[in-house]
Amino acid sequence: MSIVRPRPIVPGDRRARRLSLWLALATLLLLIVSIGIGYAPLDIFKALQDGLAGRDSLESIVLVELRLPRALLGALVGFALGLTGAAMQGLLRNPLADPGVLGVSAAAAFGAVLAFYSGLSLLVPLALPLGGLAGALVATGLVYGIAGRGAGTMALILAGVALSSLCGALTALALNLSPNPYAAIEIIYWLMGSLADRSLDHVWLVLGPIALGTALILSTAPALDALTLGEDSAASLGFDLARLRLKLVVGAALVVGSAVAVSGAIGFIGLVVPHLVRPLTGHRPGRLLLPSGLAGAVLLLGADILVRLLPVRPELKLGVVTALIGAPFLFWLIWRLRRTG
Amino acid sequence: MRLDARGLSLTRGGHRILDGVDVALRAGEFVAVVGPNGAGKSSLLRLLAGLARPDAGEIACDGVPLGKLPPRTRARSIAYLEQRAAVHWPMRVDEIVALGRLPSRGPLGAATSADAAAIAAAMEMTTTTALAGRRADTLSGGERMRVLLARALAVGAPLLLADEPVAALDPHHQLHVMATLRETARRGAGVMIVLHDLALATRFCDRVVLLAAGRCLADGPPAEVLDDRRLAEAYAVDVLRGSEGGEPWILPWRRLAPAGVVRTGRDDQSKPEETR
Repeated sequence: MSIVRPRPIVPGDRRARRLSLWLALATLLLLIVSIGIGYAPLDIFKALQDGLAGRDSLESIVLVELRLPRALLGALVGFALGLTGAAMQGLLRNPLADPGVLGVSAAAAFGAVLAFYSGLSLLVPLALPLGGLAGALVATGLVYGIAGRGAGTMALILAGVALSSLCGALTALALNLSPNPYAAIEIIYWLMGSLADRSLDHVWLVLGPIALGTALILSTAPALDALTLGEDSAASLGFDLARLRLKLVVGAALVVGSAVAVSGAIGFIGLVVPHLVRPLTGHRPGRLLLPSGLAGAVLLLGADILVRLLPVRPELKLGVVTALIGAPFLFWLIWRLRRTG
Repeated sequence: MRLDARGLSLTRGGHRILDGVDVALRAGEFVAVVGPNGAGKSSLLRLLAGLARPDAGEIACDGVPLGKLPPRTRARSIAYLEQRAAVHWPMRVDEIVALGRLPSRGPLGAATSADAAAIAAAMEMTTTTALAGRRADTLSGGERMRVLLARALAVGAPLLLADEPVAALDPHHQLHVMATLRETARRGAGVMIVLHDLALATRFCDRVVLLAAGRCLADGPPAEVLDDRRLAEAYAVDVLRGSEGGEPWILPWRRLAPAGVVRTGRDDQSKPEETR
């Protein structure tokens, strides 16, 4: 007979689990709201019945081809940005790091623009997101090639900054050389970020990379906690920092690369969300990861619902709205840093 | 458990930091590494903690080369407290101390009652129990140092390496931490710290390692190592000595002209002070 001893649970862990649960419920709720909102009235129940019965009614097509992909991608992209933002802030121990700090976002955007520009996106249906993903993965290889296997954090940041500038310049070059103004405008609109007119194929394309990248990033939670004490202390606690950086760089490339590839550049979510959630997780970077991802999903779904409810047509680009909400928050953050610092 | 290092050499940026240092740390010993600024004390401690590889020489932990130990095994065997250690996020004090248990956690990371006991004991020893609910950014420098020492003690490792653990502390807490570390050694751990305070080294430590310019000038009981000649050679200071209740004390009193002082090779310090 064995005696079952009660395991002491750190209360902070329990609170964070409860927070994740609430955020997951909120995500689910907003998913349903997002599916229910659109430009044409939709009888959801009829659409569901037809969809499940395999009848190609107008309702079921609107649900499966328009509403569902948009809602699912909103959740996926928001999760990706919130998660990676928290991971990058933890890795760099800097509250101003965002998911694109290692150059992945700019590279994914450039990859997609290249697919646009080359005309590939007209020939192959998923060329745009595939180009974005390819850009993100090439960028990761480059960052690692430049910074080296045993690179310190500073070398990684510098490589990321250099890569971002290069990809920004190349994107501008593509715009500059674009054959006609309509192509240029189309690229600019795509870069602003949106979830409109995506299909379930987009969802299937990014689901794998996002799941894999998420697993990689979540596995770094204890190491990120230890990193709170500095690099030497983290290493003395048995964490291999070179491996930690590799996991996070590859994870960020998969997750953020996917997000940018299907939605364009959606700013500020990855920067702002970790700050909103951090105090609720006891400022512990590893524990922040999952709630920050879920809160990202909530915020992005909310923003995407907002652009459809606003009486502005054609609808505002999602990236514009998140930036408009996010930038004032950044001012507030700086003001608060000034007060405490 | 014991650490044995032989012939440690380290060069960084063309500058020789350590030059053939032999040093050992045995169970139950409280050892101070002393020496002037730039002598290589912190570098030595980092090498012994397995955080960097020496250019030459070898370190063995119970006969096993340090580099061959899996990182988690090494982390459970050797606890390390870095110099001027910081806390980058304003976590709660008890959660910071709990980070010391990370090497003992399973893959799912659930805390056990052994973890809770180790954390409570470490906080008790460093008198940080009352700070448990405070956020790191509300602590004073000395409080933070004690919390971080508690974090290192919470590892429960048989070897503890601490780089200047009393540097930020007031006299009361300096004495308290030194007594705590000596008590940790009495309970069977090997404790090695970097220290600038020769008086504390003399009073509390079993052994003193005197480094200067990357070389080990002496290694032995404090009374033997910290004699007038060696202190003059290493630091260029003259000291006052005495004893109180049978315990010897030592107080740096006067600077000496640096002629004859062992310095790092790139500086030309041979001129007497008066002619400059």
